[in-house]
Amino acid sequence: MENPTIQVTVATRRPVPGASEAAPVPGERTAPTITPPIDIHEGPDGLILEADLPGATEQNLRVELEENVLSLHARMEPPLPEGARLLHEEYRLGDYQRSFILGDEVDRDRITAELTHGVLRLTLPRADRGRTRRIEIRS
Amino acid sequence: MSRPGPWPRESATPFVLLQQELQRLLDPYLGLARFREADPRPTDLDPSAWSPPVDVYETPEEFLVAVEVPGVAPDSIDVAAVGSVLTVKGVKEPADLPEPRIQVRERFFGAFHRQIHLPSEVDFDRAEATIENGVLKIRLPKQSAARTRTIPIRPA
Repeated sequence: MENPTIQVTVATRRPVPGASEAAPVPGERTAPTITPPIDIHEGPDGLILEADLPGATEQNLRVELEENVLSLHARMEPPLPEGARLLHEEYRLGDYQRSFILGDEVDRDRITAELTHGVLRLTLPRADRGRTRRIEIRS
Repeated sequence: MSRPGPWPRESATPFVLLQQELQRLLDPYLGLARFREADPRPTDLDPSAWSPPVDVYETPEEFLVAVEVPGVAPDSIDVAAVGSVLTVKGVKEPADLPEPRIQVRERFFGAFHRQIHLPSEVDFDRAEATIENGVLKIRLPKQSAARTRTIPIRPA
């Protein structure tokens, strides 16, 4: 089959109401977690995942692949000087967190990440399955 | 005489607050941040699918307006002030990706046109705007009322 669909499962992790912000460990940050919106495009060469992460920088954003779970996390600091008074609020500040389960078709070694104007773009290339793999036969 | 409040949008505030409160209650169930971006802000003059959220802060020296504009090209953003109204306009365009067979679609795109009423003591001549990592920040210094002004005395 040519170009089989690459599977990326978006772990929605719907929090149990009340559980997500409950029981903060004393002394630990209690920044709320924000699930950033994403788009996933599938092209002939693989997947492109885009996530809106306004305020994220190369320093505070971590993209990690562990087993088959790709996760992104950005620890956000309030952008304001102490003592600023909030007059009007439409967005919430918090740490970005999201994870995805990759299918076997993604070539893990060639994943690239790029951050431009607050948008993270992850390129998840399709594994080259047509490549001949020689299997040694031991006699 | 009753003066109008410093924020003339106050008449709409109860509804905005109510909407925010509802979103806050529903967010854990719906899970995704898309919910808060799915609808244009009620105050967006160009109500496309997307509208950037705006925060306004005040310090003793200045007002600070922060607008989340991820993926908006900085040169498409237009910041202007007329009277005491700050206007922020721009367009969030989707990236030009080949073969858009989309598996997941949560982000929204489109034009926006927000107006922010500011108290009259803002000194727009010294205002500064920067865009960094998808966040537009506009610093609006207050007029220095405490500035010493020498008033010349004409000889009699």
